[in-house]
Amino acid sequence: MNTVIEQSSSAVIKVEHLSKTFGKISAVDDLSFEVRQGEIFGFLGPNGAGKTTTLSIMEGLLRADRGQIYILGMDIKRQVKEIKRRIGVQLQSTSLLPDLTVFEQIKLFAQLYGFQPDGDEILSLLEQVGLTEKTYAVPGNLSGGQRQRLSLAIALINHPEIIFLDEPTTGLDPQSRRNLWDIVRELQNQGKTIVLTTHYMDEAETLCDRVGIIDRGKLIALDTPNALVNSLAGLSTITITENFPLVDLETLPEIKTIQRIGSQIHFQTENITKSVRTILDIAEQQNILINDLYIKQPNLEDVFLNLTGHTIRN
Amino acid sequence: MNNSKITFEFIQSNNTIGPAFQFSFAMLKASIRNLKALAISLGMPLFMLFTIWAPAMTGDEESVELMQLLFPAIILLSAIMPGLTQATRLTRWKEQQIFKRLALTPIPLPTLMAGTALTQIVIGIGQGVLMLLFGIFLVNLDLSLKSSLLILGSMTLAGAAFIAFGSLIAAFSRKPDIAGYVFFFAIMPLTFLASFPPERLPDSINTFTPFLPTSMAIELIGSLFMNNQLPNEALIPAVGLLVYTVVFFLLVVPGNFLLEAS
Repeated sequence: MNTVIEQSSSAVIKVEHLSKTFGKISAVDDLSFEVRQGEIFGFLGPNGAGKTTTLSIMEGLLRADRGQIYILGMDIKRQVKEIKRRIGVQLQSTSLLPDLTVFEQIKLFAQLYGFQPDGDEILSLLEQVGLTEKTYAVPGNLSGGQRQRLSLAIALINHPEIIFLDEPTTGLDPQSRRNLWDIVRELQNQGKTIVLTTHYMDEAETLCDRVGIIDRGKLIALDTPNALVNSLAGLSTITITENFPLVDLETLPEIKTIQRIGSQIHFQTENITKSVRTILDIAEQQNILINDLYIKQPNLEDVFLNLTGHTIRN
Repeated sequence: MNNSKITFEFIQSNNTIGPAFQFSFAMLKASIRNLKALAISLGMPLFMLFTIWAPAMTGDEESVELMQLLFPAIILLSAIMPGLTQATRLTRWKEQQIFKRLALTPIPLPTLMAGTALTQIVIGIGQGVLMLLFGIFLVNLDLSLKSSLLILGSMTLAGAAFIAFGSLIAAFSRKPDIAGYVFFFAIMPLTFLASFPPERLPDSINTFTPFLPTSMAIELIGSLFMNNQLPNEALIPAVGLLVYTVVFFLLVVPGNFLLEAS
C-alpha cells in the first residue's frame, strides 16, 4: 500500500502524492494523508524512514519534488509565510540560542512572531511547560528534558493551531517522557492539532489518536492504534517457563503455533481465555506448578513486523 | 501569552526590520553579558597596540614612527575580527540547527542574518572607539573629531564586508573551527598584500591588489590617519566595500546553505 487517502471535512492538513528525493535516495515516496482538526496524529517508523523529511516539507523548511500540501486550507508552496505564523514546531534537535536565557529565548521568538509579551505572560508559558525554576538559566545549564520543554514552549509562543513535534521524547528518561505526554494531552484539550513523529511504540499507542506507519518513505498503514493492532498485528502470545507437555496442546484448534526457545514455551493463540484455561487444567491434572505465565497482546511492533518483515529497531 | 496584543498590522505590513533589530539587540545583550568573551574581543586589538606602544614610550623615534604606521593596520584588523566571529558563530548555529529553528518563524532568514551582522558591527564600533581613544590620548595621534567619525564609518563599512565574507565561509563550512581556519587563511594574505608598499610588489600582483577589500579598507582608514582626510577618490573603495558586502550576502542567501548542517 503506497498511499492511504482519507477524506474528512475537518481536515486541517491535506497531503497529496508527496515525494522527495535526496540524490538517488527516495526519502518520501508518494505520501497521501489527512490530519483532522484536534487530533494527535503520529508518524511511526524507524530512523531514516522519512518521518522528519515529511514534517520538514509540511513546516516549509524543505521543498517537495512532487505533490501538494494544504495546511489550514493554504497551499504550502504559495502561502508558506502565513502558514508559519499559524503553526508551531519543535525540531528533533532542541536548537536553542546558546547565549540567551530561557526567558530571553521566549521573549525573542515571541518578537519574531510579532508579539510583545510582558514578563507575566512569559512566566505563564514557562509554568505551562514546567520550567519556571529555570527562567534565567542558559540552555547549557538545562537537562535534556528541560531543553525539550523549552523548545516546546518556543513552539507555543504564537498560539499555533497545529503543532509539529519531531521525536519530542527521544533521549528523555521515562519520567520526562510522561511529563511531556501530559503537556501534549493538555494541548489537545485546548483544541490544538498535534502532528508528531516517534519511533517509540508505546508513545504512538498511548498518545496518538491515529498513527501512520512509515517505512522507506512509504506510508504503509494509517488508522487508530487499536484498529491497526486488531487488523494487522496477528495473534496473542502466551509464554510459560515450565517444562510443559506440549503434546496435549498441539491438537487444540485455537493454538496456532508452539515454539520452545530455551526454557520458554511460546503459544500463539486466537483465543487467550480458552488457551489459558486449557493450560491451567493440564497443569492441575498433571501436578505441574506454574510459576510464570505471561500473556502478550499484539501491539504496533507486531503490526510493523507484519507489514515490513523487520522490526522498527532494525 | 493570552493577553499579549498580537501586532497583526505589523505582521501584515511585512515589516521585518523591527524583529531584525530586536534579534540584534538580544544577541548584543547576550554578548555583553559574556564578559570574558567581550573583554577578549574588545581588548585584543588594544593589547596589540599596547605591545607596540610600550617600546615607543622610551622615546625611540623609530618606535614612535612604527607605532603610527601600524595603527591603521591594527584598526583594519579590528574591522576584520568581527568577520571571524561571524564565520565561527554562524557555523556553530548551523551545526546546532539554530537556523532551522529561526527559519520556522515568519521572518526571512536574510533579515535575521543582517541582525547578527549588526551585532558584530556594533561590537566592532566599540573596539574602534576604544582604539581611537587609545591613539588620541596615549599615542598623541593628531585626529580631528570629523576624521575620527569617518574612521569609525570606514571601519563599519569594512566590517560589514568582512562580516559578509565570514557569513559566506560559514555557509560552506561544517565545523566552527574549520570556518575559523578558512577565514584566517583567506584573510591573512589579503591583509599582507594590502599592507605592502605597491612599489615592492610585482606588477602582476599590483593589477588586482587595489580591488581587494583589505586594500579598500586600508585606503580609506590609512588616509584618514595620515592626512586627517578621506582619499581623493574615496567613493571607489567605499562603494567597492559595499559591493563586496552585497555580493557575499547574495551568495549566501538563496541556497539555504545555513539550514543544513553538512
